[in-house]
Parts: sequence; structure tokens; C-alpha cells
Amino acid sequence: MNYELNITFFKIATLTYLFAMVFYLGYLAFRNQAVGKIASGITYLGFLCHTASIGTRWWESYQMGAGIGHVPITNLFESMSLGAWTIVLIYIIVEWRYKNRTFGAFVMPVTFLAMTYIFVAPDVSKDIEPLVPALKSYWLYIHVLTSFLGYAAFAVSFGVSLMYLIINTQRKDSFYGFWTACLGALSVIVLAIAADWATLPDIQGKHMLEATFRNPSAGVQALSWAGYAVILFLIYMFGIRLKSALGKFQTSSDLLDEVGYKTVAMGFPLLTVGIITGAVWANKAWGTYWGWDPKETWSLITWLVYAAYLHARLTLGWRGRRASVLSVFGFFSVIFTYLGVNLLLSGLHSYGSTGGQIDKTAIPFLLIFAAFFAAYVGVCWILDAGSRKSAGHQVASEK
Amino acid sequence: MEEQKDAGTKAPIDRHQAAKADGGPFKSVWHFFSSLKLTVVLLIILALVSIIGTIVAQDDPMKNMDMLTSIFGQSGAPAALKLMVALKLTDMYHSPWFVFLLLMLSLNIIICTIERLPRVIHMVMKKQEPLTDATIKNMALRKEIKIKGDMDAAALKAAAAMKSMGYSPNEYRADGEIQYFAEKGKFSRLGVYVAHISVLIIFAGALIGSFWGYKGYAQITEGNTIDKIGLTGKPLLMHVGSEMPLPFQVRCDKFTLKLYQGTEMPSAYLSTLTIIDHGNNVLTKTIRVNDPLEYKGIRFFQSSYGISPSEASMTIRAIATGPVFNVHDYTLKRGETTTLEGSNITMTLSDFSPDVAIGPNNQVVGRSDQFRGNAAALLNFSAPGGKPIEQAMILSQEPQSQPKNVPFTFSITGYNGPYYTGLQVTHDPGVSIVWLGCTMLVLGILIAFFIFHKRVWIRIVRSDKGQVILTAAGSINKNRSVFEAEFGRLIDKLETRQ
Repeated sequence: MNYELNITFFKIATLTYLFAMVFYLGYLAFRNQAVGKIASGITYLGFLCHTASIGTRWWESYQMGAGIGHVPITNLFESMSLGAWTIVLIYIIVEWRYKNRTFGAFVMPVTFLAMTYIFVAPDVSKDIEPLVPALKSYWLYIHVLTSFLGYAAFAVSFGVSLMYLIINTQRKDSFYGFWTACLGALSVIVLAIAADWATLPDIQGKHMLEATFRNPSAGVQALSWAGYAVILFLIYMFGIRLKSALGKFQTSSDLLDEVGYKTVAMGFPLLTVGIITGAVWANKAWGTYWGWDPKETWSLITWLVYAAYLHARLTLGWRGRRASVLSVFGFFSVIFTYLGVNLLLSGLHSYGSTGGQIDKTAIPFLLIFAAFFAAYVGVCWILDAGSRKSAGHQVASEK
Repeated sequence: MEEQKDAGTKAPIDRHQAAKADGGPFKSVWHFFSSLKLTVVLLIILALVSIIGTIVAQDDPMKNMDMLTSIFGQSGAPAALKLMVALKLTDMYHSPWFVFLLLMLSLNIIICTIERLPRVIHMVMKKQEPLTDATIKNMALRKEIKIKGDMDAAALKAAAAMKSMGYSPNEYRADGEIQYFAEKGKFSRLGVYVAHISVLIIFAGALIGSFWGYKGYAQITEGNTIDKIGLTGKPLLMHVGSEMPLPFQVRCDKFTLKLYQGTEMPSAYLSTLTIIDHGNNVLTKTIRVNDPLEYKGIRFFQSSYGISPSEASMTIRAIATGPVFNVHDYTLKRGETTTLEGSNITMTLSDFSPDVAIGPNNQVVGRSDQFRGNAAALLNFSAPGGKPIEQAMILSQEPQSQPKNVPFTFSITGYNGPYYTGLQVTHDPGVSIVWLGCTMLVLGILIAFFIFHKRVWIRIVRSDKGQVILTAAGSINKNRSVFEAEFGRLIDKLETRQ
């Protein structure tokens, strides 16, 4: 007997999210309330299917017998499906709470991308697998659930912050370069995954991005990088149109700024609990609450970046664009903690990943991340120092 | 309240900047560490340098050598590795410079707390005061309502409205004036300090663990008892060498490997351990992954298992290819000899391994101690009188490799022996302090983010024209938008009950 009802629901949900994304984009372009309502309706439908997918997977794991049954959050496919589910859940809450549908155009692509990625990625197994003994612990559920709720809150903050940046930059700003580069990188990854899916006949045993950036042929690799450059250039050239499309919406920048902050304020305690429950669990399983395993370290890096965000915002008065950029960096760190560590680094968290050696492609990626981040903070620091000399006022922390 | 756009470009000045000019070197060090900018910079530096340790392997020099060779080539790699070791990148999180950064952060937290906490405690301890004519005008949230009726009726309404919003109002009466005021969540102002101090507590717990704690490993064969462990980590204050005696003995009664039904996948590793203290069996527990045994502060974790190589035996099946068909299983330990049934040939099991790999030059290399279909056995055959016939290597993976001059075909059908259980042993006296810090951290963050100090006042006066005027005012230390809605509901209550 096949236990694939959950996969069917998963496929339907993914497709539904795609439609929701199209309608949200349409809503953004035409500002038609009816289109917006349809987009929301489709999102609810997708969310229901997604919930059904997780529910049936849970149920099906018990149908398999032999003590295999467990909550479906134990391999990359299951955890990422849950992650996407949480993002949609938080988005639905935000949409309902703030009566604003514009964020949908930013959140749904992230969700759709995550869902498509786990469905097509060759490294990700979609089978229901028995738990290895180390994963048999209640702490697993608390740890994964809190971490994921936190990640999802950060994802919403990322989408909203990116939108803030798009609306509030001029072409001559350095921030314009920043958000077009981010959007360009995201688009390239989507296209590269699509290329994997389209061109590799048998994707089992192949690596992610093998059709493009990691192609055995140097020519194809060079072509991929050239394509990357072209896409970056195009987005840089025409990004200003996206700004004017969004600008027509008259979404309040203050609202975006506030949502960007509040979602971080929600995510930060959740991430903290996620890290701590992970430590409690590690202490129960291995007798060490902290071992500087790459996953642990990266979760700490993410925690530090968001801690810096909160301190900069609450005590140094970094708001608006500055805070948004920090939130974007924070989310890159989240993605790396979640995916990059499993796929590129090795360590104790390698369940269901390719495992083994450190992948050298990780190194330039990490160096670029670190360099940009350091440069950004450095520039802000210099600007602050400059303004301190010229200005002579003080902003009270509480008014 | 919240500035729009890039408030950062006109960033607030550090309160202490002005004071920096005067005062001695102690003062300037103090000012350096009391800066919140230092906090942000330290957090970001820590985040950035932590990345290094996730790329450079912290425990495995071979891995680093491989990585460096592929980047710098054979010639450059040794020098690069030398530099890596000199910078302590291979044990980064314990290196002096990383510890120095943590120390800076700790000082930053301590001095910032000393600078700010007394003021906040004073604010929390201070009783809420009634507002005066002048101070009520400065309140950001304020609403005046004209009331029909007398002062006492208005006072009743005001008190009831406040109570229905969950406030317990204080009453203040003066000449021609009645005032009700109340506050909620004033202790939430301390949440942020709880969170920051908790970080120091976690550091303290970690320090205690690294000074007085230790980590080790023990292998116990079923039925055996140990009274010492091999140390894997280096405790800072205990120079006990590579082995450490335990203050009691541990016996492994039984090890069980459970598989998922109908599969080869392990579902549980179970070790039944007994603690023997001064000759008495004081505690028996079956441990599994995620469920360790603890005795006298020392914990034993299920970590690995296997069949003890020294006591293992292998079962060899011999099928006679000669005139009389027969099948026999022989279970032998290393070096044991038997006579093959139906012949006068003796067979010696000279060597074996449960799991081997065949190397590039056809050499057989032992890989692990798990029996899973890649076993190898080295057999020596002799004629009566001890004259050697031949030697043969039997491989599970290559059934065609058989002796040529012996009328039997051989296969490996079993690998048995008492199991050993591999135990991780730890002692960490700092761990409960770390959990205390973690709990405080979460509580502190939750209080700081989600509980607010709200204050409301309702002042009732009679105007010159003899009208009763009710003025409501409110303040909150953050998240004003939420409070505005709450304040609006209070006003609604005051207005609709007229």
C-alpha cells in the first residue's frame, strides 16, 4: 500500500499557493479589491490543503505500523513543509490583523519557492521514514515547533522589510542596489531550481543546482553566472517600476516598519526558546548542552544578528531602511541556519541531508555574506559618527 | 513616538558622550563600556567571527588539511594550516580572543546595567502621583469630557470605568477636585534587565562547567564492570590524566538493539546498567538515547555499541562438494581450530572482521564492528599431522572466492559474542545554573516585549461655569498604538454611561 495521500494534498497546496501568488501580484498591479479577496480566498484554500497534507502524513505514518508513527517534523521535507505552513499561518494572521493584503505578493513567493524546492530538490527524500533513536524525544517537537514559528515570523519580517526598502528608496540610493541584488539572487535561485527540474532526467542522486551553477561542464557554469549577471542588471534597470507599482498602493511605510519590527519581536523569543530547548535536548541525548556544532553555532549567529537588530532599533534609533536591511541580513542567516548547514556543512543535525564533508561552495557564499554585513554596519557606523559631529540633539528613548 | 525613515542618520547621542571629556582613564574606560553602540558592534562581531568556526573543522585536522589542499594546493596547504592553528581557528570557541570578546560583552552588560538599573528601580518603586493642572496638559493621550450631573456621580462613573478595564484605581480628593489613577505592569520595566543579567548567569554556568566538569567515554562488555573512564575533554582544574577513576562501579547487565519490524533500521539502543557503590547494587536502569542514567551527579548516555572484538566468534558454514552432501556450521573464536565433518581436514579461523572494505590494491581493510553483510574470514586448512594445505579468504560479498584444494564451499553466516555498550559520561555542575539563566532569559524577553507599563488618570473638576469636566489621560512606555485603542475604549465607557 502506498502512503501518498499526503503528497497529493501537498501538490494541490503548492499549486494553490502559486495561484494565490499570481492573484496577489495581480492585486498589486491592478489594485482591484475583488482580485485581493480572491487571492485571500485561494490562500485559505491552500492553507487548508496544506494542513490536510500534514495531517494525513501524520495519520499515514501510524498506518505504516511497526512503531513508525510520529509527528511529521523529522526530516527536511517534513520540517520545510511545516515551515511553509507556519509562514502562511502567520501571514494570514497579519493580513487579518492589519487588514492589508499587499504583503501577500511578497510572502506567497517565499512559500511557493519553499514548497517547490522540497518537492523537486533531488537531495530531499519525501518518504515517511522511521525515526532514528536520537530523534525519539518529546523535546524534538517543542524544539522544532518553536524554532519554526520563529523562522516563520522572521520570514514575514523579511518580506515586509524588503517591501519597505522597495517603496522607500530612490535609484541613486545605495539601498536600491541592495534590494535589487536581494531580489535578483532570489529570482536566480528560483530559476536555477526550475532548471534542475526541467533538464535533469533522473534527479535522484544529483545535487541541487547541478543543471546550472554546479554543472560538470565549465561552459554551462560560466553561462549560468553570465545569466545571473544579466538578471541582476535587468532587475536593477527595471526595479524602479516595481517601486512605482507598489507606490500606487499607498501602503503606509510606518505600518510596514512596525510590522517588520513586531514580527522580529515575535520571532526573537521563539528563536530563543528554540535554541534553549535544543540545548536541553542535546543535554539529554549527549550530555552536552552546547557543543558548537555548525547548526548550533548558526542558530546563535542568527540570534546575535536579531539581537543586534533589536538593540539598534530600540536603543540607537535605527528604524526604517536601516532596520529593514538588518532584518534582511537576519533572514539570510535564518535560511543558512536551516538549509545551508544541512546541505553544505556537516554536523550532528545532518539527518536526511547529504551529510559528510563541508561543501566548498559554501565558503564564498559565507564570505560574501560576512563581508556585506560587516561593510553595511561599518558604513552605518561612520554615518552615525558623522551625524554626531554635525547634529547636537538627543532622541529620548521614551516619549 | 517612532520616528519615520532613517532616524539613524540623526542618531541619538550617547548620553555619556558629553561627560567623556572630563574624568580620568577609569572614567573613559567606564564610558566605553557603558555605550549601547558597543553592544551592537560586539553582537555583530561575535556573529561574524562565529562563522569561521563553522567552516574550519573544530575537531578534525584531516578535514582542514583536505579543504586547504583543495584551495591552496599541496604546497601551500601546510603553511595555511600552520597559520590556522596559530590563530587558534581550529579550537576557535575556546581561544583567548573569542573568550576576550565574550568578556567584553559581559563587561558591557554589567556596566550598562549598573548605569541604568538604579534609575529604573527608582522609577518602579515610586508611587504614581495624581496629576496637576499643569502636568495633565503635557500628557500625550488626553481627552476632556463634559459631564451632566454632580461631581460624585462623575466620580462613580470614572471609578467603575477604570475597574471594568482591569485597573484598581487610587482615589485622590482635594478642594474642588476628585482624581482616580492607576497603573499596570510597572515591573515590566525590569524585564529587560532580567534578560541581560540572565546572559551573565548563563556564562557563569558555562564557566563552572568548564572548570569543574568533565566528559569521558566508557565501553562495557555485557556482564563486565568498570570503575574508571577515559576522558575526552580537558577539564581546566582537574589534572587527572587521560583516565579518571569513578567514585563507584558500573556494570552493564545487558545490551539490546531493537530494529523496526521487518527492516534493518534500528529503533532503539537499550543498555541495562547497574551502579555498584561500596559493593552494593544501588541502582539499576535501562538507558536509551535521550534517557540517561544519573548517579552522584555523573550521567551515563547511550552513545554506541558493538560486539567486543576480543570475545567475538564467527559462524562459518561448510557445504561438502564431495561425494556425500552435508552442511555444517562451525562457530569459532579467533585462532580456534576444528575438524571439518566428513573429512580429516582441520580448519583454523586465523582472523576475521565483521565489516570490511576491499581497497584499491585488493587488500582487505576492516571498516567497523557492525555485522551487515560485508564480513571476511581468513581460514587455514591443514591435513592430518598438521601439514598446511592452503589459506583462503572468505568474503560475504564475493562468494566465488573459495579454497581450491578443500572439497567444501564456505560462507559466513553469523557473527556473535557479547555486546559492549559505548557510554558517554559527563559531569557538569554548572548545568542547573545555565537552565536558571535560560529561564530568566525567556521570561525577561517576554516581559520586555509583551508587558507594558500603562498609567491612566481621570481627573474631575468643576469649571468656572459650574460644569463638571472629566479629563482622562494615559501613558505607556512603549507600543503606543495598542494603548491608544485601550484608551479609546476607556473614553467610550466614560461617554456612553452618561
